[in-house]
Amino acid sequence: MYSACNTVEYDNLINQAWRDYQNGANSALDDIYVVLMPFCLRVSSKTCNRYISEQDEEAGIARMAFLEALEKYDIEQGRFLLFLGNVIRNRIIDYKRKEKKRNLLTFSFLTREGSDMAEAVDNSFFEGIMDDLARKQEIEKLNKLLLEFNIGFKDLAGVSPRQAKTRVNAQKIAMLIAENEELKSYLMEKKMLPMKELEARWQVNRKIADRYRKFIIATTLIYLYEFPYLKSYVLPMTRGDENVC
Amino acid sequence: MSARKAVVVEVGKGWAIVLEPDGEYKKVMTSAYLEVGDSYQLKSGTKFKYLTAAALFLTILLGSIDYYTVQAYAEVSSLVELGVNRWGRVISVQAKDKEGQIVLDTVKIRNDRLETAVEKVSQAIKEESPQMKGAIQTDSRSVKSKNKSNRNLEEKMLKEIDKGLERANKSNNIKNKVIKNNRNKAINQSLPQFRNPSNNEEMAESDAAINEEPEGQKQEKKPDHKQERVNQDDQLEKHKDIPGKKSKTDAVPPKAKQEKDANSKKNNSNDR
Repeated sequence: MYSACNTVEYDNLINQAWRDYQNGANSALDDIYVVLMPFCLRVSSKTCNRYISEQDEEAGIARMAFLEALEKYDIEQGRFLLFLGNVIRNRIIDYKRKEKKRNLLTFSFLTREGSDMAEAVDNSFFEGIMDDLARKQEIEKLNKLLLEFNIGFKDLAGVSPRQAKTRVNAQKIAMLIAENEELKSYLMEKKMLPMKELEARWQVNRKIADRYRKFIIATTLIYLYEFPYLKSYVLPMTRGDENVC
Repeated sequence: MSARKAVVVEVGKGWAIVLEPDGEYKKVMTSAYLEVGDSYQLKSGTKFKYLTAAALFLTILLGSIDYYTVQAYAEVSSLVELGVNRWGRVISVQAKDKEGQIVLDTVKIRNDRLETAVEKVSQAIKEESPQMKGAIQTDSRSVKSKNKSNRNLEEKMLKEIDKGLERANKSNNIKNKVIKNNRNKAINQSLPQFRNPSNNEEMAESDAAINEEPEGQKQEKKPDHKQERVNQDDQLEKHKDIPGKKSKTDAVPPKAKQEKDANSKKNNSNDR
């Protein structure tokens, strides 16, 4: 199931599940749990400022907080995700404080976790997490697509054109491919760049197309699949345009 | 949206691959906690900053090392040896014997130009040890540079020493005259404590020397006749140097000495 967690449908889905849960349908919990767990974990991680996996103690606290939020939530309180985020964050901070009191002189006392934790956060904190998650979904999908072409992000970091001019050229080639049916189908079927075509009909510099093959493919894929977040990153723009936006 | 951040596309231990706002994929080294999808603020120019800091540090370090490296040793008299760096500044001072040590204790010449250092030292020698009268001679000076290729520096230093000696001589002559003047005044006023029998001979001699000098333009500063003459002599000596004329010993009575110092300072500033 793919839906960005900052869309209206997503909110509706959650609200629907919440209503079901309130009406006694415990199965609704399972559906919503899978959807919301990444968010819960991400909030925990950001609160603790380190990676929290499902096996960590903090994840358990997040789960409890999740149940608590479901119980206490009311439609008038605004978006469920924001409410949930706040509950999880507060519970984790409570837990950390207790922990600190119990063993004053453990390593946790020496780390600087405590200092960042108590900071108050507003809704933008959780909205930012939602954006991050949405972007993460896009990136994961792109990663899967790229694997079909045998391209990893590591390769991309290696072959990415360093000069702005070259980069814009490569991005223009990618755009060309994405907008042209023939070229597009060639790329998707053969998993290669239609070099001959590009060179003969579009006067594309073979050197650029060859050297930055992986970069061009990745960029084309982003155009093709209309990743809303990532697309804004790879649109060809010159310096002048940059200032405008 | 002018300052957009890069987005993290892959993370590992200590590194992350980010997609920059202009479409470039980049691997960054970071120990910060990041996850895929996070935005990442590129720290532009950190490398450059470190490089600049390092370069600056190195420059200062090497510069000061170079400054404190003795390039040549200048021997002004048989008493002292001065180490000079490439910019002609006195870096190290070494006395050859006890006498020299006493002289060096009285002057501060570190980081001075060789010219001024020589001047100070030669004055100090004259003041501190009258019996070493002949210690400073223009022909006893020598410069030995550490590496033989450094002829330029040697010559420059020799010139500076000459200048310094010259200036020391000048101010000494002036001093002597002022002292004489004071002494004459004292004699005129017939104060007995200023009559120093051991110096009478010399006094007469120098007085004779002054009398031999041809007369120059008149300067009217003080009504005192003798003072006037001395001033004339000063003027002359500024224009032509008399190499044979060496400074005279100064067995100065304490009061007169103080006055002399003040006067010589005045004269020095006039010189410059």
